[in-house]
Amino acid sequence: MPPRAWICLVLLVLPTAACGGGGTLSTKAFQRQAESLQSLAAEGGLVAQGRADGRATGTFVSVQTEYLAKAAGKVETELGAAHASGGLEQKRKSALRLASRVTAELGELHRAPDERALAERLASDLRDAADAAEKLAK
Amino acid sequence: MKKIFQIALGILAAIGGFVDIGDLVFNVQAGAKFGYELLWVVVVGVVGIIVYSEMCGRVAAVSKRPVFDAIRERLGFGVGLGALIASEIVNLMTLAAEVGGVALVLQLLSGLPYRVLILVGIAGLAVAIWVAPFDWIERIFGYGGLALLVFAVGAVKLHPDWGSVSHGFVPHVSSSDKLVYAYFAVGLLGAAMTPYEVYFYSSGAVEEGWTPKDIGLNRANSMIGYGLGGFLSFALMITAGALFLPLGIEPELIGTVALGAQVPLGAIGLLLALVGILFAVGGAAIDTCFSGAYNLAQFFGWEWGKYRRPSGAPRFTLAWLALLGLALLVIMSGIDPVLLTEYAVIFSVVALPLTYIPILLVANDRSYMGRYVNGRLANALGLFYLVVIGLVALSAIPLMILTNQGQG
Repeated sequence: MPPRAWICLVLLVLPTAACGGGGTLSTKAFQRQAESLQSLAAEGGLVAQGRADGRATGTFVSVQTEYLAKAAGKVETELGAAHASGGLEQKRKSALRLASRVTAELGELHRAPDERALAERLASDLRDAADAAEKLAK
Repeated sequence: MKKIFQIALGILAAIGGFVDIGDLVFNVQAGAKFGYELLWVVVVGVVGIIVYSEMCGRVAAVSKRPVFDAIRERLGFGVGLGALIASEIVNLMTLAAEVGGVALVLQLLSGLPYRVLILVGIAGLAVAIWVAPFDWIERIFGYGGLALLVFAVGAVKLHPDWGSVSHGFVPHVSSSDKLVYAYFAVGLLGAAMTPYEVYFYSSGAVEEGWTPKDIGLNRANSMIGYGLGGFLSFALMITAGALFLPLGIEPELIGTVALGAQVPLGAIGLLLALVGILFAVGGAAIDTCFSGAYNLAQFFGWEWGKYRRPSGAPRFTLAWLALLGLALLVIMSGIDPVLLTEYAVIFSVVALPLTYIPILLVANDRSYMGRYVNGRLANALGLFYLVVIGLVALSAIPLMILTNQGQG
């Protein structure tokens, strides 16, 4: 393949592969967002439980939850910017509320990684949020 | 004693080369998505890299010529230049991703700002390359990376279903998400057989002054080193399959990988995992940096080698310094190292045939190799892997597009 063709291919592939959602939300796109939310909440739950049990360092918990909160914030923004029709719109609103809650809880853990009681409560809340997101994704 | 120390070359190549950020990302993501179903692909990749690294180590020991010499000679200047450009782009992407990985792990350990730690990481790598002798680099990063064995302990402590694990070693096609399965299979093969590993390995063999007497050592290095790397890959995938899959966690962060050791083993598991990742990714960054400089120097006929003083190989020294500088610019742009890793692995897959075809040709050339020419087994395996490499090279980018980078 000539070099020019390679460059064209790369320029074509990168934006295509990287582009996200926005606009009207399809069922599949919604499912992806709900699965992402489930993943972030479940991981947040694991991290929080690790801190509550004294099995993870405060620094690790603070840094990891900062990244998780950013990712959850991105899901929240994308769900907020999109719109859907019929039953999916109701699910989108539920997912948006859930994303907002998960973002806030991960942010709390990021700011106060040394409060074990808080970590215990957030671990439970985040596990519940992951279950709720899983139901929305189905 | 010298032989034992020389085996460290294989261990460094395995930990710092085989288990790099690409392996961490693809093995853990594949485990989280498909459980143990893709373990057999790791076996295919490990055997492939053993076959070809043994071949290029033998070529280096007999002919004193590293891989890129063969590429230029066998493919001609034009195609050789294409191979050089492709490999340098992939090297740079990989190096930038590894530097980003180093900074992320340092951040998880220290809590300091990521961008500051990128600078610290780059400076640390530059100092290590400049100051430390080659064999010390091998030992520091190779043995530090052995902390990754914590994932093997973690995998056992997570009590996976060993029946499912053993089933995963039998080649099969997934019943669900076939395209995504294929994407991860291609990614795992690409991560296992990434070209910089053989560039580094063969150049290292020339630097160490291997002769035909070292052919046994070469075999031991490639088998033990890459075999160990493969074992660590199994551990990472099993950990992810046992821990992340049931919870629906899709690992997108380096810190998530470390959770695989923290959950079963607590704070000590977390610390060992982070240290292991730091040394493995740091070692791979050095391998990649050297590979890029080796390729340039060998292609253009410059003096090269870590055993020379910087003034004895000035263009080689400038090349690795420039690569580190470019990697710094790329990663400081804010690109996500994990995303960059995925691109680097998939694009490296496309370049695989340009690396491996010349190795097979030279290893079969009696005028170079004399009585050390490939035997029937090496040729049969070499040809089998060329077919595999050709198929994955053709399918890598279409699969990346069709599956939205494995998102489905």
